[in-house]
Amino acid sequence: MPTTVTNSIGTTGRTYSTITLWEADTDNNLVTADQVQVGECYNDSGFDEVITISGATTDSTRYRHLTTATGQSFVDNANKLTNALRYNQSNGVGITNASVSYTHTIEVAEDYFRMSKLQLTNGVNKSVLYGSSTLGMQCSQVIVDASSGGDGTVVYTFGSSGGPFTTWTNCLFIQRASGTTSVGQFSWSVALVNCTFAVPASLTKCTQVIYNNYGDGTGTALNCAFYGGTDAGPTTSFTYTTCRSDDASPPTGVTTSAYDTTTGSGFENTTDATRDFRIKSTSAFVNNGTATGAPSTDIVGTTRTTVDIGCWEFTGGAAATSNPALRMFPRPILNF
Amino acid sequence: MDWLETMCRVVVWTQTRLDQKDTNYAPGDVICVVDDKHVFSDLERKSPKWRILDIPDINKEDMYALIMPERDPNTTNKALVRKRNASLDLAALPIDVKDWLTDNRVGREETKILVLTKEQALALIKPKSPKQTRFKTFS
Repeated sequence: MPTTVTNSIGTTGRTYSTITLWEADTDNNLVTADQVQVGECYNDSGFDEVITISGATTDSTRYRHLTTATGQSFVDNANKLTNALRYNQSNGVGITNASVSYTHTIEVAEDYFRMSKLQLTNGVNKSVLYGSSTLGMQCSQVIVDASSGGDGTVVYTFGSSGGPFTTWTNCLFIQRASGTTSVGQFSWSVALVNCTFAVPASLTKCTQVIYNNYGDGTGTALNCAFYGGTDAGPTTSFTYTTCRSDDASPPTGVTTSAYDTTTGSGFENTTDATRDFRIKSTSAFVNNGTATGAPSTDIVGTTRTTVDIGCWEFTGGAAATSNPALRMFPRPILNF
Repeated sequence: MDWLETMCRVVVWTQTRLDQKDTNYAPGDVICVVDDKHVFSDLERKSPKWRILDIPDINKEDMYALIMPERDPNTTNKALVRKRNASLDLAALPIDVKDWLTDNRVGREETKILVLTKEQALALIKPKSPKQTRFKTFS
């Protein structure tokens, strides 16, 4: 059983003052050490840095995991059910690269890396996250909200055949630049589970909300929402199950629902400046997801009862419940 | 030590490791570049793996070339082949700075000021010869 080594990252009396230095100091052979290295970020102030995750020797049970300390994430915020669902560092740990032009905020070139409960954005001309590892990474409860169009997308991940290896669960991706190529570009293998992808309706649509550059691999999308693109996603190489989009001619497995704040997508707010991708009670997403394979909770930890589509589970504003016994079966725990 | 005059602080990897890979930091690689207001933790100031170098009158933007990775443009995913594409030219550093960088003794001076002109600082950025060792597909 691997030992979990947890270190704090922040500006006030933490073990590390930057994520980059945590990464450098844990850049070891974790298989030989039989360790999971966890970096817990504190919201002492915003993180503004360029992060490259590479070099550690890892496997499926010994890896690095970047997350937040208890009480430091938007997931833990006291007003999480009423906060607008978008990047807002005052709600929890936020990471940006506002300084170094033409550079991703985070590049992951290491297998089995995990990331959770974080908010990511960018400031300068490059996608927020670039994943170039062979065996991919696992991400859950992450908001990726790109303020710069960069290289035409918000996240860009690769992998290898035989996957899916990279998994995004309960994540929100927002492209805030007009007329870009996509919101997410995924090549080789990826699994998207209860994720929401959007270009705010006040902006020019992107070409394709999710895009598969090379048509390889075995992409899957379960209970996902794809909004603000001319097309939802690729019609080959991707399998969709109970997804929704404003694409009038969507791929099989994707149902057309209007991009609105009422009975279609039913988002709280689709205008760029005031964007809020929680859903209302009237949304067509409510109770229309597939239970099998869905996570037991949503992006802020609300228990999914009858599964909604996208990253947000509508609760009518009631407090989120947290009963571990309800999380075990029949839907696996995909948040971590 | 007048911290107010410092404009740029670089963290330089100094440890030689037996299992060195291109995706790890190598001696002379710069881990991060921060401004003079940055406060390092106790562990960071005393780590045997790296040293913190202060370079007055240099903006951190001038040193960003030191924190870029090297990619292989011939691969589909522009694979990262080396964690840093350039390093500090250790051979060009003053001898006392070079000795200090490789001095991992307990109790050693935690930071050092390297007084350079902008031109001298930029001359210390030494590009590495390209690796591009990964497979090449999808022309």
